[in-house]
Amino acid sequence: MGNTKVRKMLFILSKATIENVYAAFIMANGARMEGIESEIFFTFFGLEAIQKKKLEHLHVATVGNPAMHIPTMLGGLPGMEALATKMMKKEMEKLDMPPVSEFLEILSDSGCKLWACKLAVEMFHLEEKDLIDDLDGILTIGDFYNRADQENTHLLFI
Amino acid sequence: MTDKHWEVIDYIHDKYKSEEPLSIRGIKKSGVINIKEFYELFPGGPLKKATLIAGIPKPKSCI
Repeated sequence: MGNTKVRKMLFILSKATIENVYAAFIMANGARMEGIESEIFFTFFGLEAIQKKKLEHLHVATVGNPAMHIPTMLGGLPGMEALATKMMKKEMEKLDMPPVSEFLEILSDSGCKLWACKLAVEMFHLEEKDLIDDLDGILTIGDFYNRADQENTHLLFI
Repeated sequence: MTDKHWEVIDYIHDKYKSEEPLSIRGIKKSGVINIKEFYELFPGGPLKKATLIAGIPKPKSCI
């Protein structure tokens, strides 16, 4: 559909900071809105975004993040990360950006496939019940590559 | 076009008239249609297609 040459976008999300998770979600949702297929493979810390107990507690990193423009020492103070996260979430809400759980629902309803990485799931000793109900399954990286099964598929590591 | 299509087009017109931005989140909360049905009714870029049919500019939002 459309004039775009991109047919399918496959995202590998390996991080759990808010900016990375939202980047993946917005691009995956944006793809669906343009008639492009999209899928997300959650691996390593990216798994936090699909763990029922953790997904609403993701943070923005205040340490080791030069774009925060606060001294690293201050960024490490207790409560700093929570404060920065709260401020960022407020700005996001202003732009009508949904919280993580709602965003995952939107993605799933939009036909974006959500996969958990088998190796990372085992490494963090997770069980299926720890993960969101909308998850489409647990895959190996080989399985995921096999989903890049058509021309004009792109893989993006976040 | 079915009645359901028209219901959605009416909803989109209402939003446009009241100058409320259109988004997929808005569709989810609309009470008119859910996202799955929306994609089924307007396959391949539903908001783009629906606004095209409704004759209004496509939404500029990224979400």
